[in-house]
Amino acid sequence: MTNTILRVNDLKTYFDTESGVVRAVDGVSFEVEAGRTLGIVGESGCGKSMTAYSILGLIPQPPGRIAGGEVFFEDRDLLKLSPRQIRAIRGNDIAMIFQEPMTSLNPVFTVGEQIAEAVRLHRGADRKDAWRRAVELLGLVDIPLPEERAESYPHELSGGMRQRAMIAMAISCDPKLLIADEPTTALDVTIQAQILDVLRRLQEELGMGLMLITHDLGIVAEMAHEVLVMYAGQVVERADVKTLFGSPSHPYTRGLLASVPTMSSDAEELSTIEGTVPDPVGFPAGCRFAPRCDFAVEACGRPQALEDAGSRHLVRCGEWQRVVQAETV
Amino acid sequence: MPNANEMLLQVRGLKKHFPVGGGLLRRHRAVIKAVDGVDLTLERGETLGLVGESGCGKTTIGRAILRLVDPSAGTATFHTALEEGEARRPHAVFDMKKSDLRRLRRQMQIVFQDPYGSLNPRMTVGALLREPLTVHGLSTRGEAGDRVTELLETVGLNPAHARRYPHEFSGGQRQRIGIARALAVRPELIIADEPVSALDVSIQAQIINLLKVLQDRFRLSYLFISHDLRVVRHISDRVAVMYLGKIVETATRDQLYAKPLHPYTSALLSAVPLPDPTLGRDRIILKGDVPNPANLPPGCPFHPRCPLAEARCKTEVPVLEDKGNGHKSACHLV
Repeated sequence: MTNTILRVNDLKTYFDTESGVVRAVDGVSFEVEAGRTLGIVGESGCGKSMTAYSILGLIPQPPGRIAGGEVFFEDRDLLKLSPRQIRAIRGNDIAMIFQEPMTSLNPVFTVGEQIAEAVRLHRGADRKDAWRRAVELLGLVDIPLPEERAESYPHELSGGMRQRAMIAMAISCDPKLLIADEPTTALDVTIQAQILDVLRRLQEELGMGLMLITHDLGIVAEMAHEVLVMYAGQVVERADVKTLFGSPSHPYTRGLLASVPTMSSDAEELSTIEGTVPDPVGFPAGCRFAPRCDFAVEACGRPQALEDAGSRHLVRCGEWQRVVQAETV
Repeated sequence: MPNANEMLLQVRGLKKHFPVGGGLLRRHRAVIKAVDGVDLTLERGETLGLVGESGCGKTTIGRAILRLVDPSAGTATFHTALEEGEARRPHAVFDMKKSDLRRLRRQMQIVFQDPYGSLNPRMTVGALLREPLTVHGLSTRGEAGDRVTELLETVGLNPAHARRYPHEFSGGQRQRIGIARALAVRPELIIADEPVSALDVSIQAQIINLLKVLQDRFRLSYLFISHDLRVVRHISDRVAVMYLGKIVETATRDQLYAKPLHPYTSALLSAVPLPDPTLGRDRIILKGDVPNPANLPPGCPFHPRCPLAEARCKTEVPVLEDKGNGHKSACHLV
């Protein structure tokens, strides 16, 4: 019983720069289902945030441009909508929260005013109702004394409280899809636990789809139902969360998992991925991970397609069977 | 690993209070007790992990030890030789004159979190690495070139990189340059303040491995300041957990992670997301935020968020005491 709310198909977002074309997002496809969380994981520059910005029409054009693909939200291709039409969807049906809430909140209005404004604009509620709804929303994200906090300015709140206020604003119009871009990266670990708890609870209560972009594999493991691993603008592996962590099949996914220090291992040395991410202007013609890959063979010099590795498990690696059989990670 | 437990650094009763607010004519100013009575010891070749959340005072401790900020109270004794060939003896860091301080600082260096902000963008890597050698009079111009080559190779960079500028390097490479610069004067202690927090995980692992290799090779001691409990577990021999300017728990790495005593440590450990979706965990989710350090709650500073707090926690300040086998905790209840 799946209910796909977002279907991204072969999305390409390129940037024209002085040194050449940066293929920030290069043929990315995925779906998000209602009530489910898709985790998108990868390191800086892999294109995970650019994917989200492209969906919402937030790519600065120029230098950026959508070079191809489709983004279907309820049978409408968002990429074909006018800026006005996309504005009607953004903040209403699709909401987004960012890493640094301070940059997304207006410093000269109280958080209550800002949330109430969103409610009025999108819902057409009158001032009094909008304010009441704002206070209710602040309570919903576990802000203590919401009536008082609604009167606070963003700078008077801690980082965790600001992120809660952002979430309250994001859910003010009952979005069907919430995109969260590194929502807890700037927060301390005990506050992060609180925010993740709020997101999980709200998703259950509101049944919204959640697209969670993060660099932290721990957060993916705890929050996501499905996972997309990105590298150099491409999806390199896609699977449900148990399959991805249980039998990672792309060498990059395995390398990433092995380089996280765990809370139980006694290994003296952490496993690493040698080298660095390739220059986005000059991605290798074949597999983009090949220059850093222990499993690379001659065939990796050709572009790799996503291969089917089992039930809804896709791997962009021609050698994945050999990778899975390899004992050591 | 440390042998014969040779003492390197002893910090006693360290306090750093920052006055805030007030104004020209006001008498009463609030005081932020960033560090409020901290004891630490560090042996040669050992790594002490100092963990805690933003604002707990961990960075201020590192800076006070280096005298980058002046401590309000306390002592720090650094056991070292100031000159080549001199016998090691204790030096009172906080009482030293400026001129002696420079010689002492040769033995204690710092690596910062931000490899973008801590390297002068107008200097080549070679010049950045020669500077500490010149400042400390460690080598002539001719020798310095060889030393730069050696340092770059030590941290896994190409000697040809000496002619490039910091912006030409990736974050991980820049952190290697920062480490090379700290190593240049052959220090005994490196204070590493969130050295891998700005890096991607695969690069983080490279830098952590490098720090471990260098420690074995040069018998370095690290004061490793971090908010990341996974990284601290990996690199530390002993760990101290801070909350609001005080150490609330300290033990060997294995003791602390296997059996945390303080409820704050337990909550911190349980809040770390683990990369295993099959784990069903009972997470302790703390209520509320860290209190305003200018207006600390009475009694145990953790009591407003503590799931175990009792009546006396609201009035009596717990002291850090040995709960067996050197495992210390500042809690009335455990």
